Amino acid sequence: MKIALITIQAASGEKGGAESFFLGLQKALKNAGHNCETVTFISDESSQEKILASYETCHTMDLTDYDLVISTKAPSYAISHPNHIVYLVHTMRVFYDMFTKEFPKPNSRIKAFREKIIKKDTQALSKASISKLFTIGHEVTKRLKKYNKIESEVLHPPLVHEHFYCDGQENYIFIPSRLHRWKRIDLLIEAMQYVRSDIQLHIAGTGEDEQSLKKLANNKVVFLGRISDEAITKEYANALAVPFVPLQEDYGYVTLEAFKSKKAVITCNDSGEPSYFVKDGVNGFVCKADPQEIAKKIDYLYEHKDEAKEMGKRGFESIKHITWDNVIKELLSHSKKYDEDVLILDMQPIDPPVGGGRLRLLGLYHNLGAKLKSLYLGSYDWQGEKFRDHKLTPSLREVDIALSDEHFTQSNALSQAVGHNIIDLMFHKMGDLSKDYLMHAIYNIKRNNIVVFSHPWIYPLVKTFLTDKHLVVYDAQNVESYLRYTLLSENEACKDIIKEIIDIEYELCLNADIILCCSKEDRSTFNRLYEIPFDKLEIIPNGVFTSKIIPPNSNQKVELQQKYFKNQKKTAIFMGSNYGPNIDAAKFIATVLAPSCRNVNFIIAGSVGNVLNKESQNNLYITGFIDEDEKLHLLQACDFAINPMNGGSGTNIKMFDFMAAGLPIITTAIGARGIEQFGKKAFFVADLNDFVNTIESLLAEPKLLDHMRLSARELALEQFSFENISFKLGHLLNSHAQTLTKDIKVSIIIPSYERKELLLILLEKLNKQSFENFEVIVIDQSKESISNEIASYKFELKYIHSHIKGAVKARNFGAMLATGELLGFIDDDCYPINKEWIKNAYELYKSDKTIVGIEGKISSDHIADLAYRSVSNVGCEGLGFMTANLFVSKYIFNKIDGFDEAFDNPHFREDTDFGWRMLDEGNVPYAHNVEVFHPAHKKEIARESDEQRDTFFIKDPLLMAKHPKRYEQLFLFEKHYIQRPYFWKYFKKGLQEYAIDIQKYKEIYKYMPKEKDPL
Amino acid sequence: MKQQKFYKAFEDRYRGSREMIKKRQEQYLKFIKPLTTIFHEDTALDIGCGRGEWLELLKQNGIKHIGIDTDSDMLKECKKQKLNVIKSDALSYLSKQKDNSLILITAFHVVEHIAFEDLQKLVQEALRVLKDGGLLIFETPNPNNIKVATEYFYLDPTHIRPIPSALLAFTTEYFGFKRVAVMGMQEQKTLLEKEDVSLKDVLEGPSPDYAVIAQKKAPQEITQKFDFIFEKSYGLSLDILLQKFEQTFQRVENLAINAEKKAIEAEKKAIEAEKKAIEAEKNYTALLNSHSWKITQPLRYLNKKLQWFYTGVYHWITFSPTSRPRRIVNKILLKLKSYLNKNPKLKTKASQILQYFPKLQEYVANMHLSHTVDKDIKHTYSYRLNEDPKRKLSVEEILARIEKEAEKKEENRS
Repeated sequence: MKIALITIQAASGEKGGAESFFLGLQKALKNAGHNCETVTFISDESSQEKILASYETCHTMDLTDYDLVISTKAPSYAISHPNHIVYLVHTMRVFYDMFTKEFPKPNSRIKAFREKIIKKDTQALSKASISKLFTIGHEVTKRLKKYNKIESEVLHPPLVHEHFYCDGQENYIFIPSRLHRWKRIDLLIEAMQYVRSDIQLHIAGTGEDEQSLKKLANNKVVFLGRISDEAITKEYANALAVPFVPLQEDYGYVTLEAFKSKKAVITCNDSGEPSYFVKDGVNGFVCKADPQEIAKKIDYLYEHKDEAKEMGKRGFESIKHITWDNVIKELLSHSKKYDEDVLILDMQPIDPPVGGGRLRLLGLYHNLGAKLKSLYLGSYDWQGEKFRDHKLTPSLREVDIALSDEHFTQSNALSQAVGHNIIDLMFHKMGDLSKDYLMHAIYNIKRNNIVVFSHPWIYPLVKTFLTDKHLVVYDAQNVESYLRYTLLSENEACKDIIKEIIDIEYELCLNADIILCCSKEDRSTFNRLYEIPFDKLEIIPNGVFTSKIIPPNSNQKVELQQKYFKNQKKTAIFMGSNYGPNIDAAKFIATVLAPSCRNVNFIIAGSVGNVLNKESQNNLYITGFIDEDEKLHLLQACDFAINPMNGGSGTNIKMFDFMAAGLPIITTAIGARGIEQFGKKAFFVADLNDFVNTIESLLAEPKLLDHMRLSARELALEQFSFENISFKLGHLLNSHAQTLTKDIKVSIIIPSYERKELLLILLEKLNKQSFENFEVIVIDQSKESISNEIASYKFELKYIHSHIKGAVKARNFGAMLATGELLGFIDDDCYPINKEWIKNAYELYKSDKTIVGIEGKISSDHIADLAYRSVSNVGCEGLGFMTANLFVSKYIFNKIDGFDEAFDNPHFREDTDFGWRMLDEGNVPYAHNVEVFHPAHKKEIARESDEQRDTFFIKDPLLMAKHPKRYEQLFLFEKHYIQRPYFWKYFKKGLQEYAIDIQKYKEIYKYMPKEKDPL
Repeated sequence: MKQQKFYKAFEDRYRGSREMIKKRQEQYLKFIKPLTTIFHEDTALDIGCGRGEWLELLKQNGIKHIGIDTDSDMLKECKKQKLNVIKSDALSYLSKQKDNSLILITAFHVVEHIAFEDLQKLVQEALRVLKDGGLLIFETPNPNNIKVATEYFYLDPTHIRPIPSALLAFTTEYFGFKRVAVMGMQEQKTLLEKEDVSLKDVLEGPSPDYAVIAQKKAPQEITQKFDFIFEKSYGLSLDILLQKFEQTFQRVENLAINAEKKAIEAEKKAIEAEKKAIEAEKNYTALLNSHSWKITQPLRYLNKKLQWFYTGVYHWITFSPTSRPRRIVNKILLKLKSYLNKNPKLKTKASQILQYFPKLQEYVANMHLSHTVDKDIKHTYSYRLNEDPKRKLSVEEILARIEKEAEKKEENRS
């Protein structure tokens, strides 16, 4: 560990006991294998201004290069550091216990300054980011308690040099000391006048009071002056005892040195720390500060030399435990660990996760895939909160650091001036005032390769600490510049603020490696406003914890319905917080829907109800604020949800709650903004004035209602489950971090499902490719992970064992993780014919800027064998775009949203749909020299039987609806409608499933058998 | 043409306003005053008259004048002022003049524009054309001023080379002028009185321009009227300022020595300090040789802010070893270390120097202070718009896009 021992050196250069303590501590830390450096501040105490300046210097110092800092003397503990232990030597004593001595008649200015210093110390020492506060002794601890009301723990420092020994018992007592009045040598000299025995007092040392003391002394007192360290130990070794009677000594190495030399110590009850070490009558004496008392004890020891010897031995035993090893162990046991993989920076807390922003933070980072652990550094945008460091989930740690009072003062002043709370928007200018927060951020940026900015506010403050080794991610909860413009543009005073927001967000976008967008709409806004290329923009939607919000089983539902409602009517729910657009929607329910649909119970849940007139009609229930449990029960008790929103911005996260609970929804277009259904039918979009009709027609079809119930839950699980989103995001971050410094040009994507052997063969073949700068991404949806069986390859392999089912989803997931500019898809049972596969594809792609993708040749075997179904695209070039051999640029893939997951389960036509959309963007040549072999499948395998095979045509109507003209050609070319026995059966099923009106597609309708639907 | 226009524009921007130039050139009037008492109907020639400020002064003082210049635009300006000017270059104009026909030839900021051979011809021709006792005055930028010599001189792209005053003076004397005076011009007058001279003063303080005034031989009754020109020295030279700077430095040193003396007396009482000083002395003996003196000498000319630094160094070198207490040295080393920590380049230099003094190097390395920090080192952040070089778009462009986007959405809604 790299440790900074922060020491203070007086500007006068004077040195004392503290310096040897520093030296000893540093040496001990070094011996324990740590890289310990002392960082020395020069503290000038010659004026009030200079004292304050040295507090400020310490406070603003960036010591984040050190893993741990240990502060010692005033004002070193003013430092801001995320891993900070205080080992307090002393505060400035002249403002504490020595104040009345030094300033017998203080004026009001000096009194006020004293208050100020004590307040500053209290603030600094009670900082919650200090993980432990130790003092060198009880005196210091007592003082902290008395003046600062702060608790601390005593940790006695050992001696720096331990060369003391015991030799004999000669007729002298010995005290080494600076000759200063606080040491009370005069008390000892006076005592010697009362000593009856034939014994001398040896005094080693010099000092300002030397002359006066010498005058005081009789012939029993010997002044040795300044003597060498060896001479001192020898004096100790042969002394009878050591009298040590200072006034309120903070520590006093003399006690330890005497005990190390096995000598009894005589001290006074007002001597401070020595009186804690010395146990009266055990290892010495503690007496009143009176010369006669002291003289008695000296005489006693002279007369009882054996007892003096025993006391010395007991003294030696009593300090045996004070060793540097123990001190270091105790100190370092409080060192904080920051060993997370991902750092997320924002300035709000996550917990409690109320509101869209905090819920997103929790959802996205609560359990990142690839076993990444995340550290969230946040704050509070209001005053008065405390430091917090806790685990929200086993892999998400939240640390919140309060902003400084000065920060709030300035921000409030500015907010008032512009008439809008701008603490977040101005964070980039004021963050420097909150050193505690900033140092936490900088410290962790220096130790973390993946840095996520949730909101751009912090970025400008720390950007200089980001290096090439950092994966920089912008988690864009909104397009801030656009959002803030719509909110603030009316306000003249905010003109410049908007410009700065643009500036910050633009720069973050330019420098981010990935930008996470909530929706397609946000993504295209980023592209339009800032010209950010699509390959940097990934969609990470908002969602819901689908493991927490679950549909009820049928028994539960009946029970709940009986609990909440006393009738058999169907029940509709709306939820919302106390927020303008929600209130409008709730009013609409109360005044329009409830009176019109008397056969339906309406529930308005959440704090939106607090502002409504609670006079309930007999089919309207208004709950007011509810907790999470009650919310779940209510959702489970209802039959469907309504979302008649007519304003607001962003995605309505309540929609996800409804879906997760398996509630079909009737919503306005605004309410469904940013939420796709992926071919499923989870909600109906209706105009407000069509709501009543839609509700009634939905209730008229109980079968449809049941179907939608399932679809809603499925949609939530597949697309909006935070559990899956967090899993995918973790892999996204991990993948980019893995190849951040590598020059990956092509990403090969292989979805795999229970074909271990074939997959390993394919990887072997890929290993022989002549092309060098490529990575292989395997999305394995098999039951068992094979990560242990995978050899190492010359390419970068990203093997992801995924629980998310579906080949289309796997391809999209793989593409999201890809870091190359060109994506290549191949199936796990295929392999490239030769080693030039990737090389030829890449060269062709680079040869012509109009090329957005490449359809590679797929060859097969058993071409004429009826027992087999061979898979090849020879003869239908430019038609099928089979994913067994398809290349596409990452830019285009992202721009056209990859494969349409509506074509999943069973997956069919997704490749054709994708290919056709690709053609809208540029050229997709068919390349003979980009060839893959696809083995024929034996038909007797169950899933290859005729009817099984034909169930896939359920997807044809989807394709038809998306591409009417092209589908027409394909339809006539393939002639499935003639050749396949079950074509029309499943085609019609598809029409129903996806609610497609065949009458609109006359050319196809012509061919459709008109008999009544067999279903 | 274009070239000439450029120069006119350049002059207009950098040479200064008419009033300012005139004000400066007024200083020369006192030097030519005796001419007007001796000669009455004779003409003064101004070579490179430019916008004609000097000609105007001559006219106002009743001296007949003719100005020549090669720049038509400048001459137009002069004609506007009803000044007597001709388009010509100096040498060809002079060659057409009769011997002993002019009383004064001036060339302000001309000689630095012409080749040295031409300058020599110009001086010879001037000598021929001037009447006995006539004056030749050249004014040119003063390379003795380091700021001028290294920067301002090259602001004018038509300047050829700076001419040191000694060279210009020598040239006139060599070709036969009777006597010559060099005078610094346009310096800041307060600097002459200033006691504490800074390095900035040394570098920028010497007279930015100088003039050479050369006189053609003449009977004594004429020349004595001009003696005052050649007896006194004018202006402020680099040497004077350097001398002052040295004196400043000496004063600081003396102060420091006195302070140290007091410290030594106090320390003498402390036996420990004395003892440790002897130990320390061993470590510093190595410093007390000529190496250190040589190496630290350049430091003397560092910025004034560095004064504590070289006083510290000075003490190492001049104090008698036995009386130098370790505590003082420690303090200096502490500050030195802290200063060096803040200046990586100096630090490298210092560690190179330390290599010559292995004992000191060891001592510094073992010093209890591995890092000493001052309040200047801290994380400071200043925010500026449009900073990142990767940007292709300006904030204003993006704002315009946002405005458009918002409008579109508003339209869609209604």
